[in-house]
Amino acid sequence: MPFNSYEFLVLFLPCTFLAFALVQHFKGWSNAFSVLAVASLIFYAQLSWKLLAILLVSVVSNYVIGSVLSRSYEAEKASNKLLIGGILGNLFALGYFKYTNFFIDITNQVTGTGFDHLSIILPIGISFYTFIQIGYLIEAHGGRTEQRSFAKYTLFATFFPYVTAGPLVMQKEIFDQMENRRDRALDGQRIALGLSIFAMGLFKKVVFADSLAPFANVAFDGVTAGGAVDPVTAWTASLAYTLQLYFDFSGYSDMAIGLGTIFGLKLPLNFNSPFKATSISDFWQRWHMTMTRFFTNYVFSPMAMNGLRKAMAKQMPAFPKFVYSGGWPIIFTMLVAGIWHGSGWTFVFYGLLHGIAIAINNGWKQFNLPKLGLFTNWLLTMLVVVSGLVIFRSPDMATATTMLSAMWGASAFIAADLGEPVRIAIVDAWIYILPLGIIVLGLPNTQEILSRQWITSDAKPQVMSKLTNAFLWKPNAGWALMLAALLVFAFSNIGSDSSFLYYDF
Amino acid sequence: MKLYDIIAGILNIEADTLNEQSNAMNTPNWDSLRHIEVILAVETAYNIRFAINEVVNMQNLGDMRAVLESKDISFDDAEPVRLSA
Repeated sequence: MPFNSYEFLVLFLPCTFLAFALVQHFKGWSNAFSVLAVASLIFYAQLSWKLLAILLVSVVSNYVIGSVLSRSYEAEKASNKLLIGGILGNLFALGYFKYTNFFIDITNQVTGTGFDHLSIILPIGISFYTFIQIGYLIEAHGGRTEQRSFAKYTLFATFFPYVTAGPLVMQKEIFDQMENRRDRALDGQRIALGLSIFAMGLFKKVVFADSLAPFANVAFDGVTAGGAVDPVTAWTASLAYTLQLYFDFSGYSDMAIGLGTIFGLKLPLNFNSPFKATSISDFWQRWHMTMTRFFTNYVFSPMAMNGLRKAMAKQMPAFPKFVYSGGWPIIFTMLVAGIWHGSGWTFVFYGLLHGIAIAINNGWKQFNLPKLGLFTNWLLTMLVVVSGLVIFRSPDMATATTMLSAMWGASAFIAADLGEPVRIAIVDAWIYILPLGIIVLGLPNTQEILSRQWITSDAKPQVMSKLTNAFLWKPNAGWALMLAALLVFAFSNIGSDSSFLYYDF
Repeated sequence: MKLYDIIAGILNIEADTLNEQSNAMNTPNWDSLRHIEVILAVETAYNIRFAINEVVNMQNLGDMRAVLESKDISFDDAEPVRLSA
């Protein structure tokens, strides 16, 4: 039951909101949050009852560990062992469900054994709810959490707008909003705002992302099946996929924020026009922002601080100091972030490519190398991004290599004798790619259009967007009509088998 | 030596352009790499070590001041710092 399904839109969302509003009106906020927690579990159970059991084990264990950590902090006996045990327990569960078969593959390749894959189902959203809760444990250990009811904790860990694919929320930004609520669940203006954001997201997903999918699928599937590919087809398919993933994930993130708004819980921003980035570091500050924040906080910063401490203690010269404090930590962080997305060599290389690119970018700034100009910066960034996404999309490295060699004019160096050429409707694809590219690069994004409302849980920027009035969302008839049209159009075009790409991670 | 002077020194900007809301998002020259140097400079200046969750919760200079105060550190006592070898 993804957000872009009729069950969700016609049944789950209206029923949940009705129950939520009624309970809030008659029984108060605390009970309304319990309703929302139960609804979130029902939402997840619709995916699979078995997987719900795994989610519940994770939630209960982390709630108990978090409570003990928080109490031992108050008793001034903060327990490092329990924190480390808790994190390892979470990572072990994640590793078992996600990476066991990858390890079996590696073992077979290295030692020549022939172990079969285990039949392990990947629980949807496990990477997300595991990391959200690891963040919670670290905060509890540092004495930054309070003892809360199990219902509230369950809602924090499994709130249906983000349990399957993020944003990766931090405990403070959710719990702070649950405390001392004074408003009413039934607030017309807030619901209108939430529905507007949701409508934009649904449109991006159903109309834009799903239209691009066939071009990318035909080309990548063809290459995986052994087909040859020419440069024009390879570039067209790669750009189609790049835009497909953009609208898929940006649409999903809008929908998540919109759903949160409807229930009065703001979520952190996850997407901020990443293709307008003019450096690869800038790109990661704009693409999947809450994931970047998590890995920066818990992997990059501790490593880089240790590295810099060592470099200073040993009085290293500038270059080794950079490698210790900025170069190696970012390559390692992006490698971990790559593998976090999924098991397989493609994710290893995806992470490495981005890690090396950011390290070069950081080094360039650190050593004041000559500036290249804004357009060159943007172009280089996008070439890394598109090449990275080719690896990301490919089911195996053979597919990625064939595609990338075709794109970069290196097909001649590939020894393999390739089969029938893969064909996609190039002109049809560009009829989508061109206008959508212009939208991505030239038009304001959802939060800019809604900048007067400030729709996320992040701190307000000091300088607000300078959009002209015509682009700014207003609760009036014109905008209502336009957004209703988007919603109806998207609603009537929902495909039967189109889930979100980030559900796989 | 005050906190703002230390940070301005690392970022190579004027100290009076900083305020309690300053952070990596709204201040020139302040990116994730410089952020590490800022934190290390403050650690060195006050002779302390921040825990991971303290670093995570320092969203701006006001937060950093609060963390320092929670460690009973008087603001004007910092020693001047040089990070480069």
